[in-house]
Amino acid sequence: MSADPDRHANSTSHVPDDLNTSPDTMPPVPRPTCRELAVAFGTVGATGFGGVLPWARRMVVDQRRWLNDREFAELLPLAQLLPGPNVANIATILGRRFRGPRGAFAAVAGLYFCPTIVIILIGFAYARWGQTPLVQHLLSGLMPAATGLVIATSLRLLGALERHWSTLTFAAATFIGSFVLGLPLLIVLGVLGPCAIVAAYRSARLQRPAP
Amino acid sequence: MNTLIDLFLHGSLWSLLAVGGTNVTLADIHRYAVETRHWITDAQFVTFFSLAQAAPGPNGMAVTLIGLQAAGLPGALTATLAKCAPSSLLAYLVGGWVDRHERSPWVRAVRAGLAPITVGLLAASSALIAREVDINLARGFVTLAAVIVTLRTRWNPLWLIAAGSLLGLTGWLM
Repeated sequence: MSADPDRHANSTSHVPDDLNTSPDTMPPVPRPTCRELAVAFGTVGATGFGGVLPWARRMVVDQRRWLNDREFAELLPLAQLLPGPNVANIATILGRRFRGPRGAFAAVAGLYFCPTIVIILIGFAYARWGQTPLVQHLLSGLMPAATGLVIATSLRLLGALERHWSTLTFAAATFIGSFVLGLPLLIVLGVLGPCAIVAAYRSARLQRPAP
Repeated sequence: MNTLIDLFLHGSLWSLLAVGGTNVTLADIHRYAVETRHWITDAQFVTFFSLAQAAPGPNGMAVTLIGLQAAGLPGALTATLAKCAPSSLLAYLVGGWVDRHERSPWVRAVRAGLAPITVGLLAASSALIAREVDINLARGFVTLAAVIVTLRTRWNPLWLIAAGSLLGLTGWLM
Protein backbone atom coordinates (compact mmCIF):
# COMPACT_ATOMS: atom_id res chain seq x y z
CA MET A 1 0.00 0.00 0.00
CA SER A 2 1.65 3.21 -1.11
CA ALA A 3 -0.42 6.00 0.35
CA ASP A 4 0.63 9.46 -0.74
CA PRO A 5 0.53 11.57 2.41
CA ASP A 6 1.28 14.85 0.65
CA ARG A 7 -1.68 14.65 -1.63
CA HIS A 8 -4.24 13.09 0.64
CA ALA A 9 -3.25 13.85 4.19
CA ASN A 10 -5.91 16.49 4.60
CA SER A 11 -8.64 14.86 2.59
CA THR A 12 -10.59 13.54 5.55
CA SER A 13 -9.64 16.25 7.98
CA HIS A 14 -12.46 18.22 9.51
CA VAL A 15 -10.36 21.34 9.70
CA PRO A 16 -11.42 24.12 7.35
CA ASP A 17 -7.79 25.11 6.76
CA ASP A 18 -7.50 22.40 4.14
CA LEU A 19 -9.51 24.68 1.89
CA ASN A 20 -6.57 27.01 1.68
CA THR A 21 -3.69 24.76 0.70
CA SER A 22 -3.25 25.84 -2.89
CA PRO A 23 -2.16 29.23 -4.18
CA ASP A 24 -5.22 29.71 -6.38
CA THR A 25 -7.64 29.31 -3.48
CA MET A 26 -9.95 32.16 -2.63
CA PRO A 27 -9.82 33.58 0.91
CA PRO A 28 -10.93 30.87 3.36
CA VAL A 29 -14.66 30.52 3.80
CA PRO A 30 -16.23 29.47 7.09
CA ARG A 31 -16.97 25.74 7.42
CA PRO A 32 -20.57 25.21 6.23
CA THR A 33 -23.20 24.25 8.78
CA CYS A 34 -25.49 21.24 8.36
CA ARG A 35 -28.30 23.56 7.34
CA GLU A 36 -26.11 25.18 4.67
CA LEU A 37 -25.11 21.76 3.36
CA ALA A 38 -28.74 20.66 3.15
CA VAL A 39 -29.86 23.88 1.43
CA ALA A 40 -26.94 23.91 -1.02
CA PHE A 41 -27.30 20.29 -2.10
CA GLY A 42 -31.08 20.69 -2.02
CA THR A 43 -30.76 23.47 -4.60
CA VAL A 44 -28.50 21.26 -6.71
CA GLY A 45 -31.04 18.43 -6.57
CA ALA A 46 -33.96 20.69 -7.44
CA THR A 47 -32.29 22.50 -10.34
CA GLY A 48 -30.04 19.78 -11.70
CA PHE A 49 -31.80 18.82 -14.88
CA GLY A 50 -29.97 16.63 -17.35
CA GLY A 51 -26.98 15.58 -15.26
CA VAL A 52 -26.49 17.01 -11.80
CA LEU A 53 -22.70 17.02 -11.71
CA PRO A 54 -22.12 20.35 -13.53
CA TRP A 55 -24.61 22.01 -11.20
CA ALA A 56 -22.86 20.52 -8.17
CA ARG A 57 -19.50 21.81 -9.41
CA ARG A 58 -20.93 25.29 -9.95
CA MET A 59 -22.43 25.34 -6.44
CA VAL A 60 -19.42 23.90 -4.57
CA VAL A 61 -16.68 25.75 -6.49
CA ASP A 62 -18.12 28.95 -7.98
CA GLN A 63 -20.91 29.94 -5.63
CA ARG A 64 -20.05 28.62 -2.17
CA ARG A 65 -16.27 28.33 -2.67
CA TRP A 66 -16.08 25.31 -0.41
CA LEU A 67 -13.48 23.81 -2.74
CA ASN A 68 -11.36 25.12 -5.57
CA ASP A 69 -11.39 23.61 -9.05
CA ARG A 70 -8.47 21.30 -8.39
CA GLU A 71 -9.92 19.99 -5.12
CA PHE A 72 -13.24 19.31 -6.80
CA ALA A 73 -11.51 17.52 -9.68
CA GLU A 74 -9.62 15.36 -7.17
CA LEU A 75 -12.91 14.34 -5.58
CA LEU A 76 -14.32 13.01 -8.86
CA PRO A 77 -12.38 9.75 -9.34
CA LEU A 78 -13.35 8.64 -5.83
CA ALA A 79 -17.01 9.58 -6.39
CA GLN A 80 -16.96 7.63 -9.65
CA LEU A 81 -15.33 4.56 -8.12
CA LEU A 82 -17.89 4.25 -5.33
CA PRO A 83 -21.30 2.83 -6.31
CA GLY A 84 -24.28 5.12 -6.80
CA PRO A 85 -24.67 8.52 -8.45
CA ASN A 86 -21.45 10.57 -8.42
CA VAL A 87 -23.23 13.60 -7.04
CA ALA A 88 -24.63 11.63 -4.09
CA ASN A 89 -21.13 10.40 -3.27
CA ILE A 90 -19.79 13.95 -3.48
CA ALA A 91 -22.55 15.08 -1.11
CA THR A 92 -21.64 12.28 1.33
CA ILE A 93 -17.90 12.92 1.22
CA LEU A 94 -18.16 16.71 1.55
CA GLY A 95 -20.83 16.51 4.25
CA ARG A 96 -18.62 14.13 6.20
CA ARG A 97 -15.53 16.27 5.70
CA PHE A 98 -17.23 19.43 6.96
CA ARG A 99 -19.63 18.17 9.64
CA GLY A 100 -19.16 14.44 10.18
CA PRO A 101 -22.14 12.04 10.13
CA ARG A 102 -24.74 14.78 10.56
CA GLY A 103 -23.24 16.77 7.71
CA ALA A 104 -23.25 13.74 5.41
CA PHE A 105 -26.86 13.01 6.30
CA ALA A 106 -27.89 16.65 5.77
CA ALA A 107 -26.20 16.86 2.36
CA VAL A 108 -27.62 13.57 1.04
CA ALA A 109 -31.12 14.19 2.43
CA GLY A 110 -31.07 17.69 0.95
CA LEU A 111 -29.95 16.35 -2.41
CA TYR A 112 -32.76 13.80 -2.66
CA PHE A 113 -35.56 15.83 -1.07
CA CYS A 114 -36.94 17.68 -4.11
CA PRO A 115 -36.26 14.98 -6.73
CA THR A 116 -38.16 12.44 -4.61
CA ILE A 117 -41.23 14.69 -4.32
CA VAL A 118 -41.10 15.60 -8.02
CA ILE A 119 -40.80 11.99 -9.21
CA ILE A 120 -43.65 10.85 -6.92
CA LEU A 121 -45.86 13.63 -8.31
CA ILE A 122 -44.87 12.55 -11.82
CA GLY A 123 -45.83 8.99 -10.84
CA PHE A 124 -49.28 10.06 -9.67
CA ALA A 125 -49.76 12.17 -12.80
CA TYR A 126 -48.76 9.21 -14.96
CA ALA A 127 -51.19 6.91 -13.13
CA ARG A 128 -53.97 9.41 -13.81
CA TRP A 129 -53.21 10.72 -17.33
CA GLY A 130 -50.64 8.23 -18.62
CA GLN A 131 -52.98 6.56 -21.07
CA THR A 132 -54.36 9.76 -22.64
CA PRO A 133 -53.38 10.33 -26.30
CA LEU A 134 -51.50 13.53 -25.46
CA VAL A 135 -49.20 11.84 -22.92
CA GLN A 136 -48.77 8.79 -25.11
CA HIS A 137 -47.65 11.02 -27.99
CA LEU A 138 -45.30 12.94 -25.72
CA LEU A 139 -43.76 9.70 -24.44
CA SER A 140 -43.36 8.33 -27.97
CA GLY A 141 -40.72 11.02 -28.50
CA LEU A 142 -39.37 11.36 -24.98
CA MET A 143 -38.52 7.67 -24.67
CA PRO A 144 -36.32 7.34 -27.79
CA ALA A 145 -34.45 10.53 -26.82
CA ALA A 146 -33.84 9.22 -23.27
CA THR A 147 -32.66 5.93 -24.77
CA GLY A 148 -30.16 7.81 -26.91
CA LEU A 149 -28.66 9.43 -23.80
CA VAL A 150 -27.83 6.06 -22.22
CA ILE A 151 -26.43 4.68 -25.47
CA ALA A 152 -24.24 7.77 -25.81
CA THR A 153 -22.91 7.28 -22.27
CA SER A 154 -22.10 3.64 -23.06
CA LEU A 155 -20.27 4.62 -26.25
CA ARG A 156 -18.34 7.39 -24.53
CA LEU A 157 -17.13 5.00 -21.81
CA LEU A 158 -16.38 2.32 -24.40
CA GLY A 159 -14.22 4.82 -26.28
CA ALA A 160 -12.33 5.62 -23.08
CA LEU A 161 -11.51 1.95 -22.39
CA GLU A 162 -8.00 0.66 -22.79
CA ARG A 163 -7.64 -1.10 -26.17
CA HIS A 164 -6.53 -4.42 -24.78
CA TRP A 165 -7.93 -7.84 -25.51
CA SER A 166 -8.61 -8.69 -21.85
CA THR A 167 -10.42 -5.39 -21.20
CA LEU A 168 -12.63 -5.83 -24.25
CA THR A 169 -13.25 -9.49 -23.36
CA PHE A 170 -14.52 -8.51 -19.91
CA ALA A 171 -16.81 -5.86 -21.41
CA ALA A 172 -18.19 -8.36 -23.93
CA ALA A 173 -18.59 -11.13 -21.32
CA THR A 174 -20.49 -8.74 -19.04
CA PHE A 175 -22.80 -7.73 -21.88
CA ILE A 176 -23.47 -11.35 -22.82
CA GLY A 177 -24.08 -12.42 -19.22
CA SER A 178 -26.37 -9.54 -18.47
CA PHE A 179 -28.30 -9.02 -21.73
CA VAL A 180 -28.08 -12.23 -23.75
CA LEU A 181 -28.22 -14.72 -20.88
CA GLY A 182 -30.22 -12.47 -18.54
CA LEU A 183 -28.18 -13.46 -15.49
CA PRO A 184 -28.69 -11.60 -12.19
CA LEU A 185 -26.37 -8.64 -11.68
CA LEU A 186 -25.10 -10.11 -8.41
CA ILE A 187 -23.84 -13.18 -10.25
CA VAL A 188 -22.36 -11.27 -13.21
CA LEU A 189 -20.53 -8.86 -10.90
CA GLY A 190 -19.63 -11.55 -8.35
CA VAL A 191 -17.94 -13.72 -10.98
CA LEU A 192 -16.53 -11.26 -13.51
CA GLY A 193 -15.69 -8.44 -11.04
CA PRO A 194 -12.98 -10.28 -9.06
CA CYS A 195 -11.56 -11.83 -12.27
CA ALA A 196 -11.33 -8.42 -13.94
CA ILE A 197 -9.73 -6.84 -10.88
CA VAL A 198 -7.13 -9.60 -10.55
CA ALA A 199 -6.42 -9.39 -14.29
CA ALA A 200 -5.95 -5.61 -14.03
CA TYR A 201 -3.67 -6.06 -11.02
CA ARG A 202 -1.50 -8.61 -12.79
CA SER A 203 -1.20 -6.65 -16.00
CA ALA A 204 -0.21 -3.53 -14.04
CA ARG A 205 2.47 -5.63 -12.28
CA LEU A 206 3.82 -6.92 -15.60
CA GLN A 207 4.04 -3.47 -17.09
CA ARG A 208 5.71 -1.86 -14.11
CA PRO A 209 6.98 -4.12 -11.28
CA ALA A 210 6.01 -2.81 -7.88
CA PRO A 211 8.89 -1.49 -5.74
CA MET B 1 -45.42 -5.76 4.02
CA ASN B 2 -43.51 -8.47 2.19
CA THR B 3 -43.40 -6.30 -0.91
CA LEU B 4 -41.87 -3.47 1.10
CA ILE B 5 -39.15 -5.75 2.49
CA ASP B 6 -38.54 -7.12 -0.99
CA LEU B 7 -38.32 -3.59 -2.41
CA PHE B 8 -35.91 -2.56 0.31
CA LEU B 9 -33.62 -5.56 -0.06
CA HIS B 10 -33.43 -5.43 -3.84
CA GLY B 11 -33.24 -1.64 -3.86
CA SER B 12 -30.27 -1.86 -1.47
CA LEU B 13 -28.62 -4.47 -3.67
CA TRP B 14 -28.98 -2.22 -6.73
CA SER B 15 -27.67 0.71 -4.73
CA LEU B 16 -24.51 -1.16 -3.74
CA LEU B 17 -23.92 -2.79 -7.14
CA ALA B 18 -24.27 0.45 -9.12
CA VAL B 19 -20.58 0.55 -10.06
CA GLY B 20 -20.16 3.46 -12.45
CA GLY B 21 -23.61 4.98 -11.91
CA THR B 22 -27.14 3.76 -11.37
CA ASN B 23 -27.89 3.04 -15.03
CA VAL B 24 -25.70 -0.08 -14.91
CA THR B 25 -28.39 -1.77 -12.79
CA LEU B 26 -31.24 -1.19 -15.25
CA ALA B 27 -31.04 -4.63 -16.86
CA ASP B 28 -31.21 -6.29 -13.45
CA ILE B 29 -34.04 -4.03 -12.29
CA HIS B 30 -35.94 -5.08 -15.43
CA ARG B 31 -35.18 -8.75 -14.78
CA TYR B 32 -36.48 -8.60 -11.22
CA ALA B 33 -39.27 -6.00 -11.27
CA VAL B 34 -40.79 -7.00 -14.63
CA GLU B 35 -39.96 -10.65 -15.20
CA THR B 36 -39.73 -12.11 -11.69
CA ARG B 37 -42.10 -9.99 -9.57
CA HIS B 38 -44.43 -8.55 -12.25
CA TRP B 39 -44.59 -5.29 -10.32
CA ILE B 40 -44.59 -3.40 -13.61
CA THR B 41 -44.97 -4.17 -17.31
CA ASP B 42 -42.32 -3.78 -20.00
CA ALA B 43 -44.01 -0.61 -21.20
CA GLN B 44 -44.08 0.86 -17.69
CA PHE B 45 -40.42 0.01 -17.19
CA VAL B 46 -39.22 2.03 -20.18
CA THR B 47 -41.69 4.81 -19.41
CA PHE B 48 -40.47 5.10 -15.80
CA PHE B 49 -36.85 5.05 -16.93
CA SER B 50 -37.54 7.86 -19.44
CA LEU B 51 -39.53 9.98 -16.99
CA ALA B 52 -36.71 9.68 -14.45
CA GLN B 53 -34.22 10.83 -17.12
CA ALA B 54 -36.35 13.91 -17.73
CA ALA B 55 -36.85 14.75 -14.03
CA PRO B 56 -34.37 16.77 -11.96
CA GLY B 57 -31.91 15.21 -9.54
CA PRO B 58 -29.55 12.24 -9.48
CA ASN B 59 -29.95 9.31 -11.87
CA GLY B 60 -31.93 6.23 -10.99
CA MET B 61 -35.11 7.76 -9.58
CA ALA B 62 -37.02 5.22 -11.69
CA VAL B 63 -36.90 2.86 -8.70
CA THR B 64 -39.14 5.33 -6.83
CA LEU B 65 -41.75 4.96 -9.58
CA ILE B 66 -41.41 1.18 -9.51
CA GLY B 67 -41.94 1.25 -5.73
CA LEU B 68 -44.96 3.49 -6.21
CA GLN B 69 -46.45 1.05 -8.68
CA ALA B 70 -45.63 -2.00 -6.56
CA ALA B 71 -46.84 -0.76 -3.16
CA GLY B 72 -48.17 2.79 -3.35
CA LEU B 73 -46.63 5.70 -1.47
CA PRO B 74 -44.94 3.49 1.20
CA GLY B 75 -43.40 1.53 -1.66
CA ALA B 76 -42.11 4.70 -3.32
CA LEU B 77 -40.50 5.92 -0.09
CA THR B 78 -39.04 2.50 0.71
CA ALA B 79 -37.53 2.17 -2.76
CA THR B 80 -36.09 5.70 -2.58
CA LEU B 81 -34.50 5.05 0.82
CA ALA B 82 -33.09 1.74 -0.42
CA LYS B 83 -31.70 3.49 -3.49
CA CYS B 84 -29.81 6.27 -1.65
CA ALA B 85 -28.94 5.05 1.84
CA PRO B 86 -26.71 1.99 1.23
CA SER B 87 -24.40 3.53 -1.38
CA SER B 88 -24.11 6.73 0.64
CA LEU B 89 -23.37 4.75 3.79
CA LEU B 90 -20.65 2.89 1.91
CA ALA B 91 -19.22 6.18 0.63
CA TYR B 92 -19.28 7.47 4.19
CA LEU B 93 -17.54 4.43 5.65
CA VAL B 94 -14.89 3.68 3.02
CA GLY B 95 -14.56 7.03 1.20
CA GLY B 96 -11.80 8.32 3.45
CA TRP B 97 -9.88 5.07 3.34
CA VAL B 98 -10.10 4.75 -0.45
CA ASP B 99 -9.05 8.37 -0.84
CA ARG B 100 -5.93 7.79 1.28
CA HIS B 101 -5.04 4.68 -0.73
CA GLU B 102 -5.91 6.13 -4.13
CA ARG B 103 -2.44 5.24 -5.45
CA SER B 104 -2.24 1.71 -4.05
CA PRO B 105 -2.01 -1.02 -6.72
CA TRP B 106 -5.21 -2.70 -5.54
CA VAL B 107 -7.35 0.43 -5.62
CA ARG B 108 -5.99 1.10 -9.11
CA ALA B 109 -6.76 -2.49 -10.08
CA VAL B 110 -10.34 -2.17 -8.80
CA ARG B 111 -10.76 0.99 -10.84
CA ALA B 112 -9.21 -0.49 -13.98
CA GLY B 113 -10.96 -3.84 -13.58
CA LEU B 114 -14.42 -2.42 -13.06
CA ALA B 115 -14.21 -0.05 -16.05
CA PRO B 116 -14.97 -2.69 -18.74
CA ILE B 117 -17.67 -4.24 -16.51
CA THR B 118 -19.39 -0.86 -16.24
CA VAL B 119 -19.29 -0.56 -20.04
CA GLY B 120 -20.72 -4.07 -20.49
CA LEU B 121 -23.54 -3.42 -18.02
CA LEU B 122 -24.38 -0.04 -19.55
CA ALA B 123 -24.44 -1.63 -23.00
CA ALA B 124 -26.80 -4.31 -21.69
CA SER B 125 -29.09 -1.65 -20.20
CA SER B 126 -29.00 0.30 -23.46
CA ALA B 127 -29.79 -2.75 -25.56
CA LEU B 128 -32.67 -3.75 -23.30
CA ILE B 129 -34.26 -0.31 -23.35
CA ALA B 130 -33.71 0.21 -27.08
CA ARG B 131 -35.39 -3.14 -27.75
CA GLU B 132 -38.54 -1.99 -25.95
CA VAL B 133 -38.53 1.64 -27.06
CA ASP B 134 -37.34 1.73 -30.65
CA ILE B 135 -40.20 -0.30 -32.06
CA ASN B 136 -40.33 1.58 -35.37
CA LEU B 137 -37.90 3.25 -37.75
CA ALA B 138 -38.88 6.79 -36.78
CA ARG B 139 -38.12 6.17 -33.10
CA GLY B 140 -34.83 4.57 -34.08
CA PHE B 141 -33.90 7.76 -35.91
CA VAL B 142 -34.74 9.88 -32.85
CA THR B 143 -32.50 7.66 -30.69
CA LEU B 144 -29.70 7.83 -33.28
CA ALA B 145 -30.00 11.61 -33.47
CA ALA B 146 -29.89 11.86 -29.67
CA VAL B 147 -26.74 9.70 -29.58
CA ILE B 148 -24.98 11.79 -32.22
CA VAL B 149 -25.93 15.13 -30.66
CA THR B 150 -24.87 13.95 -27.20
CA LEU B 151 -21.49 12.77 -28.44
CA ARG B 152 -20.80 15.75 -30.71
CA THR B 153 -22.09 18.70 -28.66
CA ARG B 154 -22.14 19.84 -25.06
CA TRP B 155 -25.83 20.69 -25.05
CA ASN B 156 -27.80 20.01 -21.89
CA PRO B 157 -29.51 16.61 -22.40
CA LEU B 158 -32.76 18.22 -21.30
CA TRP B 159 -32.99 19.98 -24.69
CA LEU B 160 -32.87 16.59 -26.40
CA ILE B 161 -35.60 15.27 -24.13
CA ALA B 162 -37.70 18.36 -24.89
CA ALA B 163 -37.06 18.15 -28.64
CA GLY B 164 -37.95 14.44 -28.65
CA SER B 165 -41.17 15.09 -26.73
CA LEU B 166 -42.23 17.85 -29.15
CA LEU B 167 -41.52 15.58 -32.09
CA GLY B 168 -43.66 12.95 -30.38
CA LEU B 169 -46.60 15.36 -30.29
CA THR B 170 -46.69 15.32 -34.09
CA GLY B 171 -47.78 11.69 -33.87
CA TRP B 172 -45.12 10.45 -36.30
CA LEU B 173 -43.51 8.21 -33.71
CA MET B 174 -46.52 6.20 -32.52
